[in-house]
Amino acid sequence: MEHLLQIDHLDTTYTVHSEERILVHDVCLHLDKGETLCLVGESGSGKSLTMLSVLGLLKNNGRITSGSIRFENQELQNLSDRELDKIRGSKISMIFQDALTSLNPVFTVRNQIEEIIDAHLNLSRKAKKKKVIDLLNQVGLSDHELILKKYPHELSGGQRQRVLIAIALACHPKVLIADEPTTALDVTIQAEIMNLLDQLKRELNMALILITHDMGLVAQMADRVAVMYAGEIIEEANVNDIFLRPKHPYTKALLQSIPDIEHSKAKKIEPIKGRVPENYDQIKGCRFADRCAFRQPACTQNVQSLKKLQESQVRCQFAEQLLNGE
Amino acid sequence: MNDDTVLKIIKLNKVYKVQSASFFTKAVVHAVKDVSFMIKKGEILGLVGESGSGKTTIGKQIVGLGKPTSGTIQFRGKDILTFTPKEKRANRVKIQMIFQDAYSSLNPRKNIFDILEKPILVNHIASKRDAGVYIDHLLDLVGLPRSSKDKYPHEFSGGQRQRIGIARALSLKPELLVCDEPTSALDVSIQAQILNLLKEIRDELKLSMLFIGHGLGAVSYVSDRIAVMNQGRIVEIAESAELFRHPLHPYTKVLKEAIPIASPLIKSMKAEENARTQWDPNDASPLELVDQQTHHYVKSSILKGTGS
Repeated sequence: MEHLLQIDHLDTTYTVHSEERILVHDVCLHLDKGETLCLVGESGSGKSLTMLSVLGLLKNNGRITSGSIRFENQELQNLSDRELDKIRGSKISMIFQDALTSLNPVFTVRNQIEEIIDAHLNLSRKAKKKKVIDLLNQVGLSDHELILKKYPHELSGGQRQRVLIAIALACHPKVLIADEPTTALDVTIQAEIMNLLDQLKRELNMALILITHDMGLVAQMADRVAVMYAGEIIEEANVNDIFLRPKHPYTKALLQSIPDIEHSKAKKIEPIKGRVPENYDQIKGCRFADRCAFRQPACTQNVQSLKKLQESQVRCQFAEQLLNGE
Repeated sequence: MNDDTVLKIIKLNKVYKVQSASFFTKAVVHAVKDVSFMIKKGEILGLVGESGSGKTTIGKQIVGLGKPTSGTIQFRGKDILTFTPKEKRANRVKIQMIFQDAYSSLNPRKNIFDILEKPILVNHIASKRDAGVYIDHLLDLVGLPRSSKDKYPHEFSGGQRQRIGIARALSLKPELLVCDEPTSALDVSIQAQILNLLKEIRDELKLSMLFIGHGLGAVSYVSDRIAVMNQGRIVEIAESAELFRHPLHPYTKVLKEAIPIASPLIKSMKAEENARTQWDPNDASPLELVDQQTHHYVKSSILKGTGS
């Protein structure tokens, strides 16, 4: 079956202090119509960078050094900037963590929603006006006239994120990438925004890629999950497999480090020792080996690749033994 | 009052004057309204609520970064608001604070030794000669290698910086630690390390803590009791397990429902559209004891409303 978006063996390299560093390594992902994929990992694990690579939004010192990114059977890397502009913001949209810096402080909400419509759709003034109102309704901002006149700083955090979602939805994207859209928001507002995204996804039959570090959000939102660590995907599976049958030691450790509100006293959380290695692209073997409770001598010597194990893809040569309780 | 009460706050109010829309008038923000609670020796009290609910304002008033509009803050039985400057200085050592952003609270031009040594010398905790040994001891306590002394703040990761902040706060042998969202900028695996560290420190040093946070999982993990704040008021307070098992106030319920639970089998993260109309934000009714065993208090109007 053809996937809507397919990433194969993606490497993204950044030049930092005249040193070449492969910050995203061997990432393989696919996304189907109407599904929610969660990309989860700690900060610096390469989640955002992977998605910025897809959209061709890498900074000047970054470039894709190998691999392919296909959207609707079209290789995105072969497209010119102008061709890519027709896809970005229209067929594939993205919303970012910090809604305030994503919005332009000197333009009103109306200006900013209309801008995207002008860029991608050729609508009459009347149709445009109606479109703007429709979008506001979709994202649950009902007081149209008031909201449209406001500047970003006059809105609350939740309202700003809703405006961003409205902008992202303006051209009926097939894929919406949401990069930690609720990290800066209160839990109650987070719940509202996440429910909104979920509902819009269903209504518009969009695929959603949610980048997050919150395993709670993953459990609630995802159909499929890719766990990233130090620039690599270390496990990929459907949401039930990730939570109920985690196979990579990192995924297991991550799940054990989450405090649980109701049984908090009974269950001691187990933090993962140490931290993410800094020059992880120079590690030959498993990048998690340093912090892994099940480390074997072979872990640091052998290059680890993603292998299928039951319904999951796992980057750990001992995953099967661990599963069988060796 | 028991001897083991470290902090007692009675009817604390804080009003800020802010610039209003018009240039000539000042608007008033009533950030904290009639807040009362106490913390016992060795107890960790969690304070949760949405941004703007007044959590941080309370923390600031306790450490003396701002003067309350009215009310009293008693530390070990004495009202710290009536202290003379000299008493204040002596008292300041006993109440220390850990900040959310560990990086901006460390001087980038000083190495860790200098950062930790200064407060120790100023407050005569150790002599210049003994400071080195004392700092080694502090670094051991917070789980940093002793070799960290010669390094500068930018050389550390977020979790390590927070450990330095904790070491600095502990260096003065405080009796009360105010932790203002100490883990909200950290990754989950690192957050778990810091939370366990705070619990260990509490057990070891019999410290009392006020743990302010909006990550409810983290707060309920470290806290013995939790106070829920909404629009400047405490609406419910109970032992942490009890609070989320049997929430009574509608706001606590909304909070609980909104938490994304890390299991695909439990459907959580509900957001009711008109949830906020279920309670009066200006509800001035006092907190009333519901259950002695779990120290569960809730706004009395809620109990009358449900008829229970």
